[in-house]
Amino acid sequence: MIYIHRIGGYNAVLGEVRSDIKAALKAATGKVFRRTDRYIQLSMLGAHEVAENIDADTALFMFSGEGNLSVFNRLRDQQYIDHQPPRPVDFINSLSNTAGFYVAQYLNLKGKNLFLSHHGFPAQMALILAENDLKLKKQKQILLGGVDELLEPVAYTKKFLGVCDDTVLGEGSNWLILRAEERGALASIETLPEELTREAVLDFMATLDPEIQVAFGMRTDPKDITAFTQQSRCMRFDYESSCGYYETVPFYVLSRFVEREKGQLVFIDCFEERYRVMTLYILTPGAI
Amino acid sequence: MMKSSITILGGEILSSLGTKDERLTHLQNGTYHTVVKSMILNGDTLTFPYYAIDDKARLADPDHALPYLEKVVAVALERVGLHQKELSRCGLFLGCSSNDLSLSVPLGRNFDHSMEETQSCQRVGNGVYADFLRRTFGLGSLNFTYNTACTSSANAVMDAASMLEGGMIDYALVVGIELFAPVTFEGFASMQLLSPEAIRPFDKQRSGIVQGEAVSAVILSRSDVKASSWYYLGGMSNCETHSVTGASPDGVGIGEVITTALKSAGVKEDEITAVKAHGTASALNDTAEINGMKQAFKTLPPFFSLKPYIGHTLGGCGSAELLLMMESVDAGFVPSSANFSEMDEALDAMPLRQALPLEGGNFLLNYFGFGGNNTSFVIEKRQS
Repeated sequence: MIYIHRIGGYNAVLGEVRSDIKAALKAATGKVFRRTDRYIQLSMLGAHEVAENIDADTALFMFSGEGNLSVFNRLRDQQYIDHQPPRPVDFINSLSNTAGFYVAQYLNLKGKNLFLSHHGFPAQMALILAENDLKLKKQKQILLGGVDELLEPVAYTKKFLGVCDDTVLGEGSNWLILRAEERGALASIETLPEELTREAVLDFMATLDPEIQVAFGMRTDPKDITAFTQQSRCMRFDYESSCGYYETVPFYVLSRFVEREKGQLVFIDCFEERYRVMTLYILTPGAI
Repeated sequence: MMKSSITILGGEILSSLGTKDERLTHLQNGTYHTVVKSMILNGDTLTFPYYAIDDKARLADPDHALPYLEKVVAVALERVGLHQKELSRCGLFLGCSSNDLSLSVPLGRNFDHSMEETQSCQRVGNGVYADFLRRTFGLGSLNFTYNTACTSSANAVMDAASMLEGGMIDYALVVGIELFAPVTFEGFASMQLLSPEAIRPFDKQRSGIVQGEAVSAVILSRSDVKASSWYYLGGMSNCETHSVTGASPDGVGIGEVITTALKSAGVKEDEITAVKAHGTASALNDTAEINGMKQAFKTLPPFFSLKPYIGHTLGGCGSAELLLMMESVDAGFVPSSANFSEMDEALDAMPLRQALPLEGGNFLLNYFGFGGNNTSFVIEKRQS
């Protein structure tokens, strides 16, 4: 178990609209960041919300479903339409860890700086890695954030994300500050290192105390959600009405729960009929 | 400080150097071979050397990553004798600077043809290589894909060791992959970072990097699970925000990361037998690395760069160069820094000019990259 000391970020309102992130970042920080693109600005905007006066030796772990895909599309256009080599600024920004560099530069961080991804469960994998580093005291504190950008055309994006046409896409940049110590924490979080099968989730649901709230990943089959919820008397925690789908949305779920609720949340995520479970315990209700 | 229990069992690499026997011959003799790649810039055709994978049966399909990955990992697992039961306790740590490579092929195809025709509704993109290997070899469910530019698979090695130390897994498969990608090649060319003739790390006449491709797999464990004469002792990774394209030439960031890596490994600076330098042959990077090493060491240990042998394999160089280094020491030497001929007075440091015979010792491995990422770690070969 590890502890969340700060949580927050940016989450797009429901509706598949790309808002002016550059303007939002300027409004939040009072600065314009040269040579950054929208994905990098989105990363910085979210991190800015939680990382004021953060220690310089804080490690920064960023994760994403698809990384900086809009710059990748620009590079593709330069290659196929313009028949030109990449513009240097686009080439540099196409390395996903460039976003981490600008976040570190803005926050004056000098610690370990990773950019991670995963086929299906990027948030859970990043949490497991962070927990191990904190438990081994490799890091005293980790700024952990998930960032995904809404990419147009939306219909095409849905295809390579592998989601249904009627799924509403979103975007967000959600961040936590994690430590191994409980003192002063908002919440604790536990991520099961093992994947579960559908049957194991059914059994797990039957063990849950009715006071616990549950939420499910947006890729979970509605029939499975019905079956799971029938196993327990737990309340559903609604986050789906306030955001669209993006691959790092589990961190928005955590953030929203810490902001609004008390008690305990079990979040069950699903990808290709495999399941992962995170449990969030609120220690200081209403602290945000 | 207690000695590390993280063992390095061995692995396999696919690179321009060919089979294990061929690559040891090259590394012993300071030889290599390159091909020529060209691109058009402002109407001019430019040519650059390139270290292509030595594969006569290379597939025409641009998406040859998956067959290469399968081939390399299969050989690596067989070489260290891991079986199905053990693989379920094996985590996967994959590093690649072109993390979007797996997406670039379908995107490029869609552009060439019709996106509606060729793009089925199935998730593609980051993490698919790791997922492919997990499914193909029945690995455990913990897998991580790293995109930290040229330190990607080096950071993967470090985190693999941490997860073993934390008892989360009993084995770790670290994979580095970097294949020829036009965008990457042309991106480096447009930044004027490619050498038009050869890669000459630390040489006065150095003129830039020469890119290469490699797919490598290295397997780690703990001594209570599987013994080896090779140990991972400790390391350090940090971020230096001097410039998005590299470390500060004054070497302060690199000096700090090396000093902290030595401390983490429990090794004094005079106990380092040799250093595998990052050695990219770009003017500023080599300056930063030498200045950094001079801050960490009173007297520079013997050092060398492996990039003249396989090129700069970017995110793949962490595991690829680790494996080449281990194979060389197992064969009784560390390689010379090929192509070095003239000392740069500004650096006042000279890499190995001949292969150095040795049987074991402590070795520092340096990796630095875009995004300010600096990584150094220490390994040891214990002699029986």
